[in-house]
Amino acid sequence: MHSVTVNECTVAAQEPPTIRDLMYHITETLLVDKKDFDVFVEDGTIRPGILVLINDTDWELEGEDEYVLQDGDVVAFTSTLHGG
Amino acid sequence: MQDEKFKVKFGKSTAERPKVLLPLSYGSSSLALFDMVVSHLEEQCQNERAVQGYVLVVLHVGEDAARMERLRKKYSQVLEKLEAEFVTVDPAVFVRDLARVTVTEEYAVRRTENSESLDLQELLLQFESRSSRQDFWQQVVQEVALRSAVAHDCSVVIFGHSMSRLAEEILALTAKGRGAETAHRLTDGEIEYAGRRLHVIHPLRDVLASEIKEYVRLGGLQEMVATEESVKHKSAKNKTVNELVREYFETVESEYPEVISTVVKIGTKLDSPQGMAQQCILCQEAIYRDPKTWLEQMSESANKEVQSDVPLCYGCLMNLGVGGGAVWPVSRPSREEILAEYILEE
Amino acid sequence: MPSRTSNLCERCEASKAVMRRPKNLQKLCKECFFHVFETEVHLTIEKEKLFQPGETVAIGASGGKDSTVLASILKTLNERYNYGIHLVLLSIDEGIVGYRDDSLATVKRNQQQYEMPLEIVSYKDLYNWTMDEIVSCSGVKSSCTYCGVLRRQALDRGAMKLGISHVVTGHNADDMAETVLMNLLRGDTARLESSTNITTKSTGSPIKRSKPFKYCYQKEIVLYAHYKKLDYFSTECTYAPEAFRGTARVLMKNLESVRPSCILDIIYSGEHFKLKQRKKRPGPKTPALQDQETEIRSDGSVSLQNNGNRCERCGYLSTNRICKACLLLQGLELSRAKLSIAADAVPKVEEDQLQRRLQHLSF
Repeated sequence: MHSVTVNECTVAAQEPPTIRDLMYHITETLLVDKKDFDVFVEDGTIRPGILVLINDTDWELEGEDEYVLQDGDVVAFTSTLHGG
Repeated sequence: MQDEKFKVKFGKSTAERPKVLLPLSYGSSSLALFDMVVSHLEEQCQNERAVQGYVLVVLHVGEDAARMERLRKKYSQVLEKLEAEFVTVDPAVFVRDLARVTVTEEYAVRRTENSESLDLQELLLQFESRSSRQDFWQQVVQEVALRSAVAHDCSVVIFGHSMSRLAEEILALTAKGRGAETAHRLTDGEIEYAGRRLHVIHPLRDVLASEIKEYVRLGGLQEMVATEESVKHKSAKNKTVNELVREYFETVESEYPEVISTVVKIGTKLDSPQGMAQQCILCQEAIYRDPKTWLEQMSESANKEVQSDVPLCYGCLMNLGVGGGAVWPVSRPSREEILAEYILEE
Repeated sequence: MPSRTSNLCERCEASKAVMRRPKNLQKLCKECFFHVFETEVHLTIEKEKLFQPGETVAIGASGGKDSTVLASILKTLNERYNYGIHLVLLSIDEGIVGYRDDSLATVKRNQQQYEMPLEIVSYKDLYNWTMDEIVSCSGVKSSCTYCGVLRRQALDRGAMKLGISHVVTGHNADDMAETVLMNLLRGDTARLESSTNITTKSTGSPIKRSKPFKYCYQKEIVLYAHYKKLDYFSTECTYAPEAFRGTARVLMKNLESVRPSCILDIIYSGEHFKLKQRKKRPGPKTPALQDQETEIRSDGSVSLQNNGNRCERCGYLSTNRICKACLLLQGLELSRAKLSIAADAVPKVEEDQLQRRLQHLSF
C-alpha cells in the first residue's frame, strides 16, 4: 500500500474526472486483491489515514474528492499508518 | 450501606425520605430504569403499613411535555398508589448571562460583552461540527438536570447509563480532551453543585445496552422509546465522537466481548486530578492545567506575553477552535437564583 | 468548484500553501512548514530538558519514516541550537526476512547521509532467536508482544554496549494516543498513568528512553519526510499488528476525521489520568516482614525488592528473578523442543489441542 509506484493513467474523460473518479479507476484497474479495496476506500471516499497529495499539495487544500484532475497532475497516495 | 436509605419505611417512621431525580431522555436505558424504579416502589407499597422509601422525581429536559403525559397514562394504575413527581423542563432555562468568548491565534481567551440575544437553537448552531454541538448539548442537559435536582430538593440523581453507554462516554471524553472529567461524571458518588451535595448513581452500570433493548422489548416499552436519529447513512465525517465510539464498541463487541466491561472497570479506578486551579467559563468543569500553557510548549506560533481574560478548559477551547468563538452562558446560577427561577415558572 | 488561488500560506502569506496542519488547521507552505515543525520539536526538547551538553544519545533507528525524520531533525537542531550532543544510530535486527534486510540497508545509507556512527544489535545474537523463528513457533498473533519486549531490552543492551545511557525513539503523537486508548481498552492500570510520559525508564535499568516526537502528528512526519525527500523505508512489518490494536487504530483515524485535534486531545486526557489510591489494608505490618515479601505477578514473574538485581538466566538488569525477555523465551524453548520432535509435521491447531490435553493430564 505504502510505496508509490508511478502509474500513468488515462481516465476516460467524458465529464471532467475528479479524484473520486480516479479512486474508482484505481480500484477497478490497479488493485489486484479485492481485499485491498477496504484498505483504500471507506464510505465512498479515500480511507482516513491515507494521505493524498496532488502535485505535492495536501488534497485537503484542493477540495478533496471533488478536485478536478488536469492533464499532467501527479497524485500520490501515502499511508500514514505504521511503517515504523 | 448507602442503599439503606432507599429501603421501605414502616409505621410513622421519622427517617427522612430522600427525593430521587431520574432524568429521562426517552431512550431505552432511562425508560428501562424508570420502569424498574416504578416497580420497586410498587413493591414497597404493597404492605399496608409501609411507606415507600423514597420519592421519585422524573425529569425530562426538552420541549415535548405531551410525551410525559403519555408515559403517566401508561403507568397510571401503578402511579396512583405512589408518590412521584413528573417535570418537563424547557432547556431554554439554560440561556442566561450570555457573553461572547473567543480564542485568539495565540490560544488566549477573550470575553466580550454581547448584545445578541440568541435562543438555545441558535446557540447550538454556532458550532459547525455535529460533534461539538453534541458536546455542548450534553453540557446543557447535564446542567439543567442538576439545576432541577436543586430546585426540586432532590439529594440523589440516578442516571440510566448502561455499561455500554458508560464505556462510550469514557472513550469519548478521552477523545475530546476531557479525560480528567471521567471520575466525577461517570463514577458513582457525591458531587457538589450550587452549594449542595448530590449523590449520583448509575444503577444500570452492569447492564449492556443490548440487554436493555431486550428488557424494553419484553416489557412492552417500545412505544415509549423516542426514535434515535440514525447515523448509519452518515459518512464518517458527519458523525460525532460519541457516535463513532459507539459504533466501534458495536463492531468489536462480538469478537472481544470483554472490552466494554474492561473500559468501565478502569473508568471506576480513575480519580480526579489534584489541584483544581480554575473553572471553565463555558462548561464549568475544572481546569487542572492551563490549556494555553500546555499548547504553547509545542507551538511555534505561541506567544507567552498574551494573557487570557477568562479561563477556558481544553475541551471547550478545541470545540471553539483557534480563531473561533461563540456566544454562550458564562455563569452558573446560585442556589437562590435556581429556586427563584423555578418558583416563577410554577 | 473549489478555487485553487486562495491557498496562500497563512504564515508568510507569500508562497502557495501545500499542507494543512491537523492540530490547528493552519495552511502552510513548504518552507514555513519545515520551520514550524523543526521549531516545535525544539520547543519540546527545551521545555522537557531532554538533552545535556556533552551527552551521547542513541537514536533507535528502524529505517522507517519516524526514526529517519528523527535522525534528520536532531542533526539539524543539534547544529542550529548547539545542544552539544553526540548522535549515534542504534538499530535492531529482529531477523525478519524481507522486511528487516531492506530497512537495515536504509539505515546504512542514513549512516552515510547523516554522518553518524551506526550500531546494529540482532535478536539472533542476543537471544539466539530471530523473529521469524519466534513467529513460526508461537504464531503471528502474539508476534508484537514478543517483539515489543525483546526490542525494548535489545535497545537497552545495545546502548549499554556503547556506553550510552539515553536512547531516543521516533514514537509520535499518534503512537502515544493509540497507547492511551489501548490502555483503556485493555484495562491496563499499570501503564495508564505513565504512558504519556516523554521520558521513561524501566525499573532497574540505567538507560532512559525519550520521545522527542511526542507531540508530533504522524501526518506531519510523513509530509516532512516526503518534502525533504528523506531516504526512508516504507513497508509495513511482515507481521501485521495484532488484530485488536488494528481496531483501535481505525477508530482513531475515524475520530481524527471528525475532530482533527483528537490525537492531541487524547494525549491531554492521558496526561490527566490518575488512579485512585489503593486503600491500604488496616493493621500494622512489621517492616521486617515486608522485606521478606516477594510479589508474584499475574504473569508468573517474581518481583524482587531491590534494584540492581540481575536476571538469573541472562545476567541482564531486571527487577524480577528472571527478566521478561527470558521468561518469554523460556516458553518458546518449550515449543521449539516440541516442534523438533514433531518435525514440523503437526499443524498449529493440533499442536494446541495436544498442548491442552497435556495440561489436563495429572499424575
